[in-house]
Amino acid sequence: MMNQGHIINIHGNDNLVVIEVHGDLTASAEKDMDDAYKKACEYNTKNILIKFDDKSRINSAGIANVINIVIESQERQHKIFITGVSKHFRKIFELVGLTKYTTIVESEEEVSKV
Amino acid sequence: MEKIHREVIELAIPSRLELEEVAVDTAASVARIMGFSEDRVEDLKTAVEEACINAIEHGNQLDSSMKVIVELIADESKLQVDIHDQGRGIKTDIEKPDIDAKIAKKQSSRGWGLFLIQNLMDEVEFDWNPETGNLTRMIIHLRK
Repeated sequence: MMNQGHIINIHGNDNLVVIEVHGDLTASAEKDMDDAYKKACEYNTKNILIKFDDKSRINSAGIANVINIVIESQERQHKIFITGVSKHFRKIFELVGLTKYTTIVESEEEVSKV
Repeated sequence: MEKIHREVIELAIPSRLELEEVAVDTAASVARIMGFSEDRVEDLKTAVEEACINAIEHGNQLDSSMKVIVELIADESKLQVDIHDQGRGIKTDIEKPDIDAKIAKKQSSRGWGLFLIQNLMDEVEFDWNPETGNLTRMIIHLRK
């Protein structure tokens, strides 16, 4: 999926599905994020990792996109992990309280240890 | 760095989403020249982005013929960012965003813009004037 300012890819297996976000997570990413989560639900796993790259930025609409996924994940009993976040990105997540509902990890490999 | 006494940079941005990036990049450049840390520059970038998006979307109703005016006023101790649009008042009495309420679907998942601005900047004020429209004023202080 490609749109202005972001590319969202998805891959996974029976242990973990990874939603890769390249670029900015803003209002224009809403549909692609929704679609990515729907595809993630097709895998037989409860663990979903949203992986940002070092150039990713997020704004208030992007925060809403993540919250929408968390809402869905609660209903489907998925566990949401986040990785690839900058210091500022982490600060924003903590400020809005998303760290209460997601787990920030340093790497994809760390998910299996949590 | 040469001491800044008081310098003003002014931008006029058509009300089209994504053009807020022009203000974000300019504000970041000015803040770096003034000597702000990268952490504070990131705070400023997020606040300017949110304030400009509000001005474009809510103030000027995405009418690209209307301009968002961004004034960056730098002096020795602080950077003030004034963002003007032609709207009729900024709604600031909105319910405080609450993550638990949002997850429980008792609040919309959106509505974080003002919250981020108020939490990332040192001083924030909102004003409205029938002649000049909306003003969002944000200040960050240099702490050396």
